[in-house]
Amino acid sequence: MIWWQNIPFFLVWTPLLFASITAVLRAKVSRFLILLFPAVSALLSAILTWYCLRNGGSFAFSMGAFGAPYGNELRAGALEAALATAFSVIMLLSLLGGWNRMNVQIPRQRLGLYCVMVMLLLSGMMAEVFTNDMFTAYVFIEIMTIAACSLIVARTRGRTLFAATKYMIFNQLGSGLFLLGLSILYCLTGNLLMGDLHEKVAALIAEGAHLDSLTLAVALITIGLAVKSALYPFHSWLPDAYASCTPASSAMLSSLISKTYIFLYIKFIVRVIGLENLDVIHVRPILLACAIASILMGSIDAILEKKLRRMIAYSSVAQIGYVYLGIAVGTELGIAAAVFHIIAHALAKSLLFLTGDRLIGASDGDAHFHELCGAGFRAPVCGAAFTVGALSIVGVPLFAGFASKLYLSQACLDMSPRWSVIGLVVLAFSTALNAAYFLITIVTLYRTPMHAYQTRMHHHWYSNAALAALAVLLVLMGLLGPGIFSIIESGIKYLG
Amino acid sequence: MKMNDDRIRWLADGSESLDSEMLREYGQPEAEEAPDAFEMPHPRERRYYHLLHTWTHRRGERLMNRMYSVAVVLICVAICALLIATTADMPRFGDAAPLEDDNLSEFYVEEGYRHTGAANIVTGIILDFRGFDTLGESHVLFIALCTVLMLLYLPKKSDPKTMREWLESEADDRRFEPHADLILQQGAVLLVPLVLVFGVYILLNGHLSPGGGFSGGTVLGAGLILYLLAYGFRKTERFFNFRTYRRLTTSALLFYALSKGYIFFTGANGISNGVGTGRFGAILSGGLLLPLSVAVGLVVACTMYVLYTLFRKGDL
Repeated sequence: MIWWQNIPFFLVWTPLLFASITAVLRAKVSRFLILLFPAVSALLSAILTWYCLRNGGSFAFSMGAFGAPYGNELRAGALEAALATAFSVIMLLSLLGGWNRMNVQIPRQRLGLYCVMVMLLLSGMMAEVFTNDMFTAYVFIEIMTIAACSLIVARTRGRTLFAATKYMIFNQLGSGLFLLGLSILYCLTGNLLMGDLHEKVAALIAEGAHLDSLTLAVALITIGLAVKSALYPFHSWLPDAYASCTPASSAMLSSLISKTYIFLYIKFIVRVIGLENLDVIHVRPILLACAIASILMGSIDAILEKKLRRMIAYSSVAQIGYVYLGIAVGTELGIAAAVFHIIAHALAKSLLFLTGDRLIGASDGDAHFHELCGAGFRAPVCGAAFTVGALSIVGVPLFAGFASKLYLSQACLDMSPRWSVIGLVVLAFSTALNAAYFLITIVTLYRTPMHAYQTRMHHHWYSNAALAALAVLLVLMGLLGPGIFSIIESGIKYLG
Repeated sequence: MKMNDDRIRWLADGSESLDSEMLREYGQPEAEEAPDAFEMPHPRERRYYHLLHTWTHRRGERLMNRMYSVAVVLICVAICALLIATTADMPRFGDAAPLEDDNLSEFYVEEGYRHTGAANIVTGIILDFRGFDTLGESHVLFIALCTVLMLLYLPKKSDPKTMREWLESEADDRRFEPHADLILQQGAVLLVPLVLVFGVYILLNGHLSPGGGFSGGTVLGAGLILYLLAYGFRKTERFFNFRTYRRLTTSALLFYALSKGYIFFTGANGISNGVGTGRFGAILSGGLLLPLSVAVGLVVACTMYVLYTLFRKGDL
């Protein structure tokens, strides 16, 4: 085994090891550690991406002396490594961008525990990205669910307790459904490793045996992960959870946790079921319908919303719909577009949550739109960064959102003529809806203020630098879209 | 300390603040405009409007709620039926999976003990073959405990308000504590040593007979809780306080993660790890299984006990 092939293992294991140490350290030290670890992990996974691209293919790392089917296994290729890089960078920038508010809003005695949660979240994310075993995925889903719940509840107001309770109920339901589906799958195939599962599932489909049970298992896993990533009919936990916690938490919740579940689903679809078997399982039409409903209803809810952070949260529902639209297309191009959109949206949404909270802070803490007039002048960096994020989500050329919508519409053409027309119309219409609420928000930010505002908030230079970095990354991703897309496409070839 | 206040209120009046939040979310229609606020030229129109309005807000809402409950029950029953029907389609218990050809379970049963040195193959599987899953699983316990700590832990030496709150909860707890319940205390005298010894036995024999870290730890935790119930916090504080808990859990998890990391790293890189399996069936066999069982058991016992005390009065 070459030295760089050990990187995935260290990405998963080191944060897990340091999580329990963080619990006994003083809050000052552990606060430093939660910045150090995402930074190191971004660096390491960037190195891994470089080597994976140079050597091509993907490799397995068996956890323990026993080979793959008997023990656990990690698997890494260019796609996983690239996503791990993106997730670590976004985690670092979200923490930095929300640093001041995090220290103010979370009581001192909880800060140490908050750091434990962040460490375990990092480890869980990396495990989900790299694991090649469905049950390991379930274990780390549990870790991520609890970590996410306490990220919400670390800042205690009445609202966060309510939001966290709601989050917990929905997400435990999702985990339960995932486990149920997984046990049916295990019962049918006697395997948990993704590659072996794929062979068995293909054999079952070729024989035509147990097709109904197989369909039910896939349906349960799909619904479970859809609940956890807030696809339309299951999204009602989302606005409360994202809008009430501290901004660093909401940035991580929206841009990392739900995206990790979606990437796990992509791995399930590509690596376990296989794109060629999707039509036998009948999962595509349902995914398509949910994705389209999600895109439209999320935008409409966002337009109707009167508060800024809840509006951003509802727009997440719409954006997750885009990702599922890419998956539902069911070709490699569609999956690649979905992964590209995952990264583009994660960057934009964490930027929006971080700046949105500061803009509210600059308006004396009132989240209503009429109070936001002129907030762009009171907090110039935030105003500019918010504008970049919003334009990217709307899909204005030069920004990442444009590239991802372009790839999504290309992917839509792979479907049957009727569906591709529906897909394109929905994409166009929803872009108009996105523009409706985000452009209005931008205009509101730069209108004349209604009255004078008192609060002057102090933010460190590195917080502003983190916001600027997110904005620059969005523009870079828009400009270098084809290059990043080709990396993703080459990675997807080795995912299956 | 606004946040602390909120937390204390939340602790003090139980679920009330959650209830009021739910009410704000779902119930309590906002002060409705009286139907007369509109200009309604015709009395008949006004009467119909009034009828409709009152119907929606009295009967209609109730009807919707009922329909909702019925729909929920129907959906649940449908899902149950679907799952039961699927169970009928599954291979029967004990049969091989429909496509069993590489004999995963056969390997575990027949070859497992040779690789792990464990007579109890279940422990061999969870701590050795699939040790990574179990590592994650014990961190699930740890993180759940951290979350409860975050919500319920009341540190003693902070501001006077928290101090007062802590004293109140202490006093409140004393009220329910059986001061000198003879039956309970004499029962505990008999039972607690037995339970603790049995727990230690399960822990140490996890790789030889049914048992292991999770079950042994649960028994140990239950024994501690029984002791606490009978003799109160004043006795247990002497050997188990917050610092003990932190040291135990952290060192157990640290040892677990470090040794598993060593095994994974050497295993994947093809380096011999130098851990022998020992003589089959002896107490000191199975390589790292015994210390790992103990580590898991400590984590589980601490989690059980601390969860109980936190829910009881927010402190150890």
